[in-house]
Amino acid sequence: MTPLALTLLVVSLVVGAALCAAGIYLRVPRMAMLRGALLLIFIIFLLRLAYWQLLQGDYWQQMSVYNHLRWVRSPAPRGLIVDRQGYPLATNKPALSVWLVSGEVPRDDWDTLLERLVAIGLFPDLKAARAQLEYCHRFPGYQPVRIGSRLTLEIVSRLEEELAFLPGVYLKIEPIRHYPGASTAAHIVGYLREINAEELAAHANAGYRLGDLFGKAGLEREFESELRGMEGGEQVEVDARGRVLRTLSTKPSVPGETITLTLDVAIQRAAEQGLHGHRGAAVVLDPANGDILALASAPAYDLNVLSGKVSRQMLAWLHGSQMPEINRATRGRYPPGSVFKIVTAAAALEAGEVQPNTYYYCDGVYHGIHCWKRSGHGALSLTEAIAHSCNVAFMKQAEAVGIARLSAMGRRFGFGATTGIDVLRESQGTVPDPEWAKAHGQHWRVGDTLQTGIGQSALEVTPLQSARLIAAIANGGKLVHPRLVRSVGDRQYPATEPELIGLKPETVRRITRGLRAVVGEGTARQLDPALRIAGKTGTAQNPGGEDHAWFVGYAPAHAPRVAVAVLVEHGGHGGAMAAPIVESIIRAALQPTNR
Amino acid sequence: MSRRREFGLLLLVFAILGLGHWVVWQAYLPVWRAGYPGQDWLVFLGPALMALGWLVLSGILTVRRCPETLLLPLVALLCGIGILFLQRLAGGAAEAELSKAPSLLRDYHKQLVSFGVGWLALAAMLVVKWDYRALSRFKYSIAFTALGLLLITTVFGDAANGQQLTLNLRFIAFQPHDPVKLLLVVFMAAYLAEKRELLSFAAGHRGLLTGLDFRYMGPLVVLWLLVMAIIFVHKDLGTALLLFGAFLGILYLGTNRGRYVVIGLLMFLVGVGVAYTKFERVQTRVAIWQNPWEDSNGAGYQICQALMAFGNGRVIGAGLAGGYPERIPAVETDMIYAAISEDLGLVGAALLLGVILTLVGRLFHIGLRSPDPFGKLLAGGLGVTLAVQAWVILAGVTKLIPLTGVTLPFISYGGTSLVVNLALIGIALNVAYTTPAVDTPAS
Ligand SMILES: [Zn+2]
Repeated sequence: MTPLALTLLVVSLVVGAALCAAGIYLRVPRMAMLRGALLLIFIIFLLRLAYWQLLQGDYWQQMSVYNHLRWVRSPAPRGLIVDRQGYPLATNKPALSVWLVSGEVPRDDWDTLLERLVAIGLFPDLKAARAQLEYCHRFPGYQPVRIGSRLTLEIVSRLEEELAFLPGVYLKIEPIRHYPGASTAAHIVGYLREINAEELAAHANAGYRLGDLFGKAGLEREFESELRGMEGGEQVEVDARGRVLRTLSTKPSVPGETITLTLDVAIQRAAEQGLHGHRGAAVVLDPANGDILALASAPAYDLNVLSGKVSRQMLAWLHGSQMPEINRATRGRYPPGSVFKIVTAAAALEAGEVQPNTYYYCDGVYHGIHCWKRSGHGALSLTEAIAHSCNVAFMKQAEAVGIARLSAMGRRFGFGATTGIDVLRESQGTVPDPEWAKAHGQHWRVGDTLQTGIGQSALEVTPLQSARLIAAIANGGKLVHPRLVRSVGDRQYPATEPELIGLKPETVRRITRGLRAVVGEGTARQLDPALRIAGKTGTAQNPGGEDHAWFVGYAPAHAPRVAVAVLVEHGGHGGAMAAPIVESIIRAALQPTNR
Repeated sequence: MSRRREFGLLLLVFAILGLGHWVVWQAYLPVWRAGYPGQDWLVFLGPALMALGWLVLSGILTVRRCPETLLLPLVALLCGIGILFLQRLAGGAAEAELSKAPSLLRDYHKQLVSFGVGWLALAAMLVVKWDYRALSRFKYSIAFTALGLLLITTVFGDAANGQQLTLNLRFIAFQPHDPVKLLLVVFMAAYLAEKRELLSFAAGHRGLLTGLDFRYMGPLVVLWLLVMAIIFVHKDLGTALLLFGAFLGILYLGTNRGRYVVIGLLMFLVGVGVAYTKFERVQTRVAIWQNPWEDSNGAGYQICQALMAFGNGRVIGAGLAGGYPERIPAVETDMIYAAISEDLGLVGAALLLGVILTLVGRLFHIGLRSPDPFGKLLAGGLGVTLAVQAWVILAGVTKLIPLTGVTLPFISYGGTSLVVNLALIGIALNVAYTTPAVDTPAS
């Protein structure tokens, strides 16, 4: 409040009070008193009006006619997204963009301006330019609207040359989002696009304006409000050409908060390289606390490309049959195949159905369902059954345990429910049982129980759930709660303590022995023994075509530090396709430079 | 004799407005021809119909032998200026190719329709042989109607446009605070007029708080609560200020006790203080008021643009259609006075203020000459209401107090406000029917 206005107010209050007192003392009639009081407040108003029109008139007239006040927004640097070692996955870099203040373009100059902008190459043709113009007219004339960003050097230099002949056009340096890893952790990080009308309406009170960027996917969307920060700006006086004459006031921007993930970029890259050229997913967990060290889905996409102008081919690919935008690691539902035999074994062991001297005889077929080895495995101990992934042995276990206890064991390992990482979308998967069959209008047959025992029937799991299963074996029977975000700004997101799911130590020990034998002599014996991997292959039949290839494993077997699940869609045999990918991931994870 | 004076004054008003319309027509003719077919000749139709309407009303007053001759020309001038500037702003916006041009043009037509509705109400009040004293008998029904309106608005109201609360019925949308204002003023006048005789004994108290009469303190407290509810629930500081100001004026007229005014003012200040501490919205308003330059392209943009308009207007103004006030947000409602000040300068703005104050003075005059205590309080109260309402918005526009969404009576765009204010004039003229025909010195 200006001192003059304050003085005016105080003086008028005092004068008014004095006049009132005088009026009462002199017994002035009330109507006259009221008239006097009203006249007094209107005289104050008139003085105020004269103050603006006469005393301050010059200043404001200059403001209005020759100069302009403009609020130059300084966007807050968006918060970073970094991995557990601080390596950036999403950062900002300065870039030039073009803005138009439509109110500063003389009416008769519109067409010339458009032609110039087309000639410079900012728009492909006049039609596109005109469309952009319509867009600008939706805003008040004083408000700058972004009409081009991520410009090529050539366009920038030509714009700079001609800027003097382009009324209302301004170049501005603003930070743009940059993803140094391009497609690294693409499905987790997500990307930004310009805010659309619905989002604008939904966040009406958050101060967004058209042209602002808005998180469209992944953590960029999930943590939009935290990453965004608080916009600042400068109140400047500019001349008719838009040159800044002086700064009247400044409000600093507040940067967005940094999001630290549990991811390890080295492991993430290894996972993505392993999946390269395939469709599938890989999840790496720390079995001790559930930290997600890597979570990859293939095919992935370059986030920098998706943040800019997306080409038609790219758009067609994004929405095509490959469905690259689906995060297969958390949303893909696949039959687990032989990976589920771990659950069957656990159920059988807990039920006391498998004694150390129990042997299963495989002649290649059971109840009409074939073992993958048509000639049969002969007599097998539990360890050998796991190592060679004998279907007959696990069908017999499933039959002995019964579907109720088998499906219950599946749920104890976390199947059929989301894992609870709130920040990524997840599928629940399916653990079928007679009730489920009834709900879906089917009859549960003995064959279904047998099929469930070998990971088929209607079983559906996500790669993340499978990683949780193998982590639970690696850590001695505790179900982990996967954690992806370690901290947002100063706020820590502590890991949740893994929960014991009530397995006997003997159960875990005997399954572990089988998992080691898988790599030692079984279905994945080609893996490097030096890495001491223990795991289980899976080759899951599916109606879509070629089998899905699975491998879940952990290493080092005696003191597990990582638990990995890899799925390759239609990859064929798990041991041949998925196990080498797991091997390469584990090799990267256990490298001394990395830890 | 005096009726002839009214006729002459009306013709003068029409001449002034006609000149204005001609200037505006000249200024925007190319714009209308270029993009708004029909608008080039349509601009004269509305004002011409309005003029006809005023002449008919003048005829009715003549037949009913109404001694009041100044009210009609004054109101005609104010309404005419409102319509003239709406048209001028629509033209300015269309010329500057602002996106709000079509909506401003629509507002202009809507305002003409509103005037038609208001005119019908006014004409009906002048033709039908009713007596304003009937209002006194229904005062409690009137008060309850006002309360009911407020209550309904609280439940079904829609504050989408920021400040002026709107009640959206299926066929019609209106701002209930305007009729509430009129109903409460009528109630206050009736209540105080009735209790007035009872009070002639209670005299001789000197202290501020000693000898306070419950008959006055009661309604004071009730109305204070109501006003606070408007601030706290409807978040409409402008209407609250105007209601309470008008109420204090009537209370003073009815009791001749300055102490109630002082107590009322203190109560109001306390309420506003509480609202300031409780509501971020009020704080924002005050912050914008104190320093609009902080964010002159955001929240403070409106007031900064208004100050530029004042600065551009200077003493004699940029000339009608010469400035560019159409750039001011909400110029047709809150900021109409800034537009007038830019085009017509300090001189024009002061003259307009003079017209408003003459109108208020005229209402006081009717009150003074009314033989009936209720009529005195009613006409005086209506005058105070108009004066306070005008002051609240004008002081807001000039950054003397925080800007509120109250309309400038008869001039701002806003159908409810126009209809209600024309009805207010109808009541005042009805009071004037009962005053003696010959000019006698004010008592
Ligand atoms: Zn077999």
